[in-house]
Amino acid sequence: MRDDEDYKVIKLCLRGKKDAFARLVDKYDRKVYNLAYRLTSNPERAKDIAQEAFIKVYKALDKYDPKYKFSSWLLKTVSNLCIDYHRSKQATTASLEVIINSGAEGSILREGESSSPIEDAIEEKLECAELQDVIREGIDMLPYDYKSVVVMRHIQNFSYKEISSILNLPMGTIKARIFRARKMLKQYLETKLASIR
Amino acid sequence: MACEKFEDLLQRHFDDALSPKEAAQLQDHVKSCRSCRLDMKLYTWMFRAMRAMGEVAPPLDFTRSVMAVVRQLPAFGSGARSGFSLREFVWGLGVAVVALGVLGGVLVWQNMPMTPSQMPRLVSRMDSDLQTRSQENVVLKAASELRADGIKLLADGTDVQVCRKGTSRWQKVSFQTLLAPGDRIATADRNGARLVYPDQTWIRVKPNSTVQVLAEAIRVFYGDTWIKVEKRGSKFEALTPNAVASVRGTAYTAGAFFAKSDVLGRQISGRLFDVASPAGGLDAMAVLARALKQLAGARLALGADTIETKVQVYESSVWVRAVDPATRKVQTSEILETGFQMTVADRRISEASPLALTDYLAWNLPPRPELLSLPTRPTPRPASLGGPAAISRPTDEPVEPATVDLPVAPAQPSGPNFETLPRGR
Repeated sequence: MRDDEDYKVIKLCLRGKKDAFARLVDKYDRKVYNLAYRLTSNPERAKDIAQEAFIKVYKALDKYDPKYKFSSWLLKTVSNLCIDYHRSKQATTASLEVIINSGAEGSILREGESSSPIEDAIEEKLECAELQDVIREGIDMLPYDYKSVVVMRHIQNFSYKEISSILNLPMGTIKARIFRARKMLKQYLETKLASIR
Repeated sequence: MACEKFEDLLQRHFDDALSPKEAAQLQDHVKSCRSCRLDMKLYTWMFRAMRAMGEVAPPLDFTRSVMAVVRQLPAFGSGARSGFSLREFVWGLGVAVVALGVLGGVLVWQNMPMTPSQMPRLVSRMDSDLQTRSQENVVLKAASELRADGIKLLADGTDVQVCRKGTSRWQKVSFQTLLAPGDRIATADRNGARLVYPDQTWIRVKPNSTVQVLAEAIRVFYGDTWIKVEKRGSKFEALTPNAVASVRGTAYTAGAFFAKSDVLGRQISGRLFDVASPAGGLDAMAVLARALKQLAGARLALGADTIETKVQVYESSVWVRAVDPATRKVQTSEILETGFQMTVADRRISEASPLALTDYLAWNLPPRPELLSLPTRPTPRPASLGGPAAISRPTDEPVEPATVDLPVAPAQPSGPNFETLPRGR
């Protein structure tokens, strides 16, 4: 379904044909659920947020402005609900920055002479299965503003333009956050690599 | 070039945003700079790992569950967008807040909960009136599957005590004990317990709770229980006076009020309806939470599970309606004010229920300023938490609830009759 088809479905709903809304749910359920899941790391909560987002959007269909993409509006609703959830959790997780700053071991990877055996060893470590979880952990520990952009860009594969529209932030801000988040994740990965024998 | 400059090129490289000249510069630098080469490896791996996380499928019934709610909502263009106006609700509830707040003082001290002399007498009333509004303790009643014979009590620690039916002696129990209908259990500060029924339904009794097992029911004197229904199809009713029950899928939590020692102190343990609903429901619940908070000191935790919640304010009651997300069934709680005892009844209503959202109205509650002047009375000390000594032997004396003359409220229609209301859309 193209975007103009989204609007056709919306118009049907506005004429009282509620069941047409199921087409939009079917179209976007995966995207919506995945965004909620990656931002909350909680499948139950993700399901609730995803459902709530659709229902909120349905109730506000009469306020929808066809100038904007329906998907951006829907995902923006999801993002806002995730922010609410995140705030209500009063994050008690460790700060990634603290972990990075306290992990002096990361510098070990860069010390010493240039040596391909060391790089090979790193390559080997990178293939280690437990590192798969390291990235997940690292993403979860990012400050929420950074986490959301990383999830949208690198897991959900949204473009910068889409992210800017969803979060209602200038593209420059989005890029700056993503660059900073990537750097933090990279440093976190280094810290973890150094601790793997 | 300094590596800081290449950091920016590196980042843009992964966004495919480099010009050919920039890409060549980066490539040359990386060949000779180990640190940047390492960064490139790490980023490459990182992005690959993130892409590999892939998509997670939403639950199978996702669309169905969303549409089940959407179908309950008024259709656009129907001319009757909603009989429910959030503003009316909030306003009506605002008035309710005042009324409830005023009543709170009377509620607390008139019904200082579960004093030893009250509880035993209430037991006998409860036994004869399980189906209707219970005036006193929480009763969690299951239809047929929950049999009280052969219930095992599994204690989490050494602080769990049992008082057998017909006695007033509390004894500490070992890890596993068999119970009979009428037996009471008290958990203390640190440990809870579990009741396991023959059909594998189990009920968790949290610390600082006192419960009584009955035939097909469990009564909570105070504290928290959490019911997990292992067997599908079991039906539970939670009749909870002076308490708030919440429903969450097949797990129920009921709690009973217990007051702090200072006047107007109320603590609600347990959770009100889990809420994950459209703005109207959330706002209504927030207002209700604030209303209950007016019973000074009350704290209410709101979860986020149900799909839709509405609050109704009537002349003498506040209703909360929620949709069970697991079963899609409508559940309604009544928070009733009857002779200054707040009661809550949870009833599971089938999908064929005639309740409709548009039937919900916000009513004005008349202010009751005469209730503000409370007679002086020493504040009774609450029973010590988990204190079995506070519970004395049951008697058969009937108990009349304390009453105070109320002003005559304007005539209002009664609350919804679940059997006769028009069907929802």
